[in-house]
Amino acid sequence: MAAFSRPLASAVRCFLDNASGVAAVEMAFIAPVAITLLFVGFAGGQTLNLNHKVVLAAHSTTDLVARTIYIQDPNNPQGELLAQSALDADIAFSQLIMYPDANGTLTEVMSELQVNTANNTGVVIWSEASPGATKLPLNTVITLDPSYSAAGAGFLLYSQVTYTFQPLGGLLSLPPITLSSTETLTIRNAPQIDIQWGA
Amino acid sequence: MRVSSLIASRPARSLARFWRCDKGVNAIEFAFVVPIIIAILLATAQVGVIFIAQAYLNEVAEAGMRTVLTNQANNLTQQQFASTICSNVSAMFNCANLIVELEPAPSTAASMTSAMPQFDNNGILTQPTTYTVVPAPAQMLLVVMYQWPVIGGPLGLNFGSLGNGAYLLVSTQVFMIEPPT
Repeated sequence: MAAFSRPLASAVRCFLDNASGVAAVEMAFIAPVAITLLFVGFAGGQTLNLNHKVVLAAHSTTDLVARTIYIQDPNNPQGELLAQSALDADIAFSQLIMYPDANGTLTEVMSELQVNTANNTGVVIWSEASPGATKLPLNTVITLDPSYSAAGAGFLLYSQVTYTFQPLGGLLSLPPITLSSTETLTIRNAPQIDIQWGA
Repeated sequence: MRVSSLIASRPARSLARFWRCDKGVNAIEFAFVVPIIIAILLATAQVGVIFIAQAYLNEVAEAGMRTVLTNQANNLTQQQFASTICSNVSAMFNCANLIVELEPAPSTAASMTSAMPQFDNNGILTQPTTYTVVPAPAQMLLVVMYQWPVIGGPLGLNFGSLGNGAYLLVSTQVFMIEPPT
């Protein structure tokens, strides 16, 4: 047994003492780390870019609804009318803004809030959602930044966009990342927007 | 017999001497390692440049949107409009290759994706992009695209997203044209 282990030990010692090929061996240790860092860097850039698009989608779609062309609501002197189909199209523009990264996980919920200046909150008076998303229940209370009450807004548009994606398309088994953005804007052409449901 | 064995053993001895010789070992190891290093460096540089270019393209699209919504694009052709918005970033992009589509935004939720420019497997547009400015007030769709050329690394490290190996940069703006004052 000892006679067998002696040459083995000497071979191991010889291998450990041998300095040839050290650069290749070191590279074999470093390369996986460097390549992983490279891909993680790419995933980081991808995430920042997609987050920019999610924020832009929330802002642009809310701004479009806020700029709805004025049509007087005959039943509400301070309201303007917006057809539900036009609202749905405005919400669907978020798909265009996310292009070519839009996937089935992109959702948007657009609501109108009646501002309560006493406690800086807004109460949902209508809500509409993209396919697959859930509308906010009526009378849901949303906490608002005090600046909206200070500015004297009576009604606000409030939208929430969420988007989930798999960084690097699943390479490196990175976990899915969910991005979200919330936008609150005042209505441009009337104090309030009323939706013509079914129109 | 002796002479032939002498001749046969000479290359064998030379080969054995070559294997034992450790002169220039660092250069040989470097030659093995350098393609990997270059691939990683090239890919890292490209990743940075791709996302910088995307940020610039977003700026281009935003400037283009502002040009249209303030009614300054009403009398421009598609080429003039593309040149106008690209002029500030011409160091980054080849303005002739900037893909611009401007049209009234789709009016129904079902017709969204078909409004976007499409590419075939070779990265060529399947149909020409449109350029239409309508009077305010109107919802408009502006799409600015650029096929960023990606140089493939020695070990197949390539971040291209199109069939032609390029990385497609896209920035989309949807907005309402403001009535002229």
